[in-house]
Amino acid sequence: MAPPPPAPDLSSYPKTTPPSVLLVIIDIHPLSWSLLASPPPLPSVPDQPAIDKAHASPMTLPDFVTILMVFLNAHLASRWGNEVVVYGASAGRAKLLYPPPSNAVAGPSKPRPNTYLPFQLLDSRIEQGLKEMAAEEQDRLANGDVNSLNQPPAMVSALTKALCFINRINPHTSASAALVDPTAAPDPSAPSSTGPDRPETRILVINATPGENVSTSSSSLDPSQTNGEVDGNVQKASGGQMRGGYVGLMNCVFAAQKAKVPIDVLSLPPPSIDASPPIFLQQAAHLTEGIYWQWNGRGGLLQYLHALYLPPPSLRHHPFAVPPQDAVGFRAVCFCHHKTLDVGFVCSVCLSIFCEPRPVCLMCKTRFPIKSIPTLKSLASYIEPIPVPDTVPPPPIPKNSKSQNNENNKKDRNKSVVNGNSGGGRGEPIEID
Amino acid sequence: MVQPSFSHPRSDPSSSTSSSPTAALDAFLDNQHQSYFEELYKSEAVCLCVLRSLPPVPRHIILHHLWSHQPLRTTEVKSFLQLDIQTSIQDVDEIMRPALNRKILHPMMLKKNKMLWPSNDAFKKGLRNALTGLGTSNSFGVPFDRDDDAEIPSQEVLVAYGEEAFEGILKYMVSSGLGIGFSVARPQAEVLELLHISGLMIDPTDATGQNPNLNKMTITSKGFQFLLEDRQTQLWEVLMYYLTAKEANSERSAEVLSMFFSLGCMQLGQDYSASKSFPHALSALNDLAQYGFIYRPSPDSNQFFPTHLATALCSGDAAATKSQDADEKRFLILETNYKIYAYTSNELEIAILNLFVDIRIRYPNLVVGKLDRKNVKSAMEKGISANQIISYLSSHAHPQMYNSPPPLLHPTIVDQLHLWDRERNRLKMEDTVMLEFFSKELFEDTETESKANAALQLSVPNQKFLFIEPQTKAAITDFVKERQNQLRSGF
Repeated sequence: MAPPPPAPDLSSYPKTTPPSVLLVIIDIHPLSWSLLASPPPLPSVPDQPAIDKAHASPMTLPDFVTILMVFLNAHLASRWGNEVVVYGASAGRAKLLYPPPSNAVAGPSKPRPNTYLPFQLLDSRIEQGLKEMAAEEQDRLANGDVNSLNQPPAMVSALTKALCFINRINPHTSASAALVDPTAAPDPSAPSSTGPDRPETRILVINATPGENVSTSSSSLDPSQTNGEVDGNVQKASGGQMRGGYVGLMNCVFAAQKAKVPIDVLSLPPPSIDASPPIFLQQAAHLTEGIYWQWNGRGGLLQYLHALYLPPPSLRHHPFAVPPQDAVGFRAVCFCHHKTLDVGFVCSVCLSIFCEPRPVCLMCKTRFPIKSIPTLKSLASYIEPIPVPDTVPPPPIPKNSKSQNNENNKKDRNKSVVNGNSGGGRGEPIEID
Repeated sequence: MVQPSFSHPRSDPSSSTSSSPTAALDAFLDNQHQSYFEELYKSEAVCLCVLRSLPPVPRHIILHHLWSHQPLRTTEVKSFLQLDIQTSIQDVDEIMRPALNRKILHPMMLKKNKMLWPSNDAFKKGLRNALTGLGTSNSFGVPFDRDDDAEIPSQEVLVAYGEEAFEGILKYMVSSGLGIGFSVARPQAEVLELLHISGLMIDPTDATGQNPNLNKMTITSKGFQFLLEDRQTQLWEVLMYYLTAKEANSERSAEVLSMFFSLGCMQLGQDYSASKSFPHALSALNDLAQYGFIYRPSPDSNQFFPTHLATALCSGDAAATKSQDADEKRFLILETNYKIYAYTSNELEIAILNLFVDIRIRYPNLVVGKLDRKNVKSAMEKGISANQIISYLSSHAHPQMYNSPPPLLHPTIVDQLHLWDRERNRLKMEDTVMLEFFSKELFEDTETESKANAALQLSVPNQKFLFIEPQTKAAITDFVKERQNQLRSGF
């Protein structure tokens, strides 16, 4: 007979949590939302009748914003001192939607008797901000700037702004900073004896744009290549642009990693629109210990938001379980053509990634012996791409059976990735997986 | 010599539970019946505040489950908390205890080792409505319909008004105890009555306690302890005294309590309509005006402004109040030589300091004093404990104090305060039963027996005395008789 499990250690549960600041980046790219509003029919899942029963639900931006507002209200409700910051990322530009700049006119003059005033301010301001952004897009179109719509959403711009915001409210306090501003210093008299009273921050990225488009390039694309594509699925190389969004995104991710800011990612395009997940956002979530989850296109977003993304970082992992993360594609983008690579070549000086061996590094101008190039090419041809499951399997709905199986799966997959890496990484060509 | 070790008051679990600012409220709510909560949860403001008062873990489980149509299952809670599936129900119950106590979840046995917790419908509906703004109970206050150009008091004016009204009451209490003459206006008769009923003040000349002379009351030891609490604790204690004293009728009591929460969710600087917001609790609202919770431009007007006392009520951890008067509240520097520098000109704070500090120098913005044995012990005579002094000192510590390495207060001083506290309690009274023996064997046997049963208080082998717990007397005498017979028959 198995011994009884140990009783949960109640005293290890935090008595209080520090106030939490949630920075939401919402992708409001018009093309992406038009796709989401009329999704293709979902394939049926005969082996999971519970999932199969739910119908595909089109999701329009107003519907989603309503859901998001309830979620943000719940975040504010869950603790005093919690704050919300919202950025909107549209085609090629990002903007702060909430809180309003301090010189802006105060919110509605009259509080509603059935709404908690902070909720009302938040909701009305977000609505107003979104309308302003939509009007700006309209203006851009009216001015004949059609190509701007083909730009991917400015995730990098929004992430950078969000990280700057975090740095402003939560500077890396040293002793000298504490002298200047005593309120920023850890406050032992505060009731939270478990942790310092500094607010904890996290970023929630709500991605609506399908595919790898999200991060290939934030700079303007060549019109000749993108003219025909209205479905927003721009995957081709954007010629000549050296600083793609990839580098910017990764820099943001590493900054967030260092500042211990988790980046949660909610990817809205269901698998029927978007067979390949936004791997760079997935990497962002993985590297910063955030939560990545892709919507399956079958409704229930309000519950998913509350269930997955509401607990603050101090409660995640312990005591709460986080949803298991599936295989993450660790592929990178080459600096020369902005192609997503399985096998790449790395400059040994500046660590830039290229899709083919080059005699001169494009970034740092280091010269490599020209003789080594054929050798590298021949070596690279031996390498077989490692079969990593690229798509994320839908999360199992029946919660009772979930935890054990998936964790095992996840472990196995991780192991295979690691093994593959150690086998393939020999000599100059480094495999980016 | 072995130094006695004193646990730091912050690390002491018992003190951390009692230090919650809403302890008075929690104690009150824990004793309420299901129907009382049903009444309370009609108000969205109450649902919101009760949710926030829960510990983080149950709070997030409730939110996690808020939009689900199914009742919460223990198995779900276990997997969410990463507990073993075999964990006993009692353990999971213990985690969710605060939510069960507040009647947010109803326990229901499903089958062995499985349990369902259907949510309280009223609470679920109230919280959902609070988040979506679809409620109909006007619980967040109906704004007063005034002309746009009408003059309204600024936030500073409201804060000053509330502060003055509440500090007036505290000052009156202090001055009655110290006999120092500050010119304090006597609070209104209803306030004095409440202070008497709550036991914070008594009339020493009134032996029966039935009809006190409200003008001649002095502060009790409970009152002194009350003075040293932080502001939010004081506010909730006053409100709970008010609720229990005035509102014996439980039906109205729920309405008044839900008004307290509504006030806590209101906005400072906004005016509200009394008759529309609280149609059933108007008289209670009038009473709150005497404590400075609300401001009314004229006594009979329908328009009222909540002051910071009211709006900070529900900010669970006093963060809001702290940010408001952080500068004024943190003024104490305590040195290891027991000297205290208090950068304040607030009469009330100085009077409170005067309870246990020997004040030597007074400048316009600075008071210098010393913690010494005589003053601390006289404070302890008044019923103030060492822990209360320590928590007062640490909660009012100047920001500069945080720059030195922790602990905030030097252990020397903390230990000395505890030692002074112990000096008063050298003798401890306990009831006992003394047994006197003539036979050494019988004495030793009884000694081991009573030791084994944890009945022994003291044994004096020389004189063959045993002191035992009184409630064990019968059992021990039985044992003695039996043993005596055995020993006698053995001879």
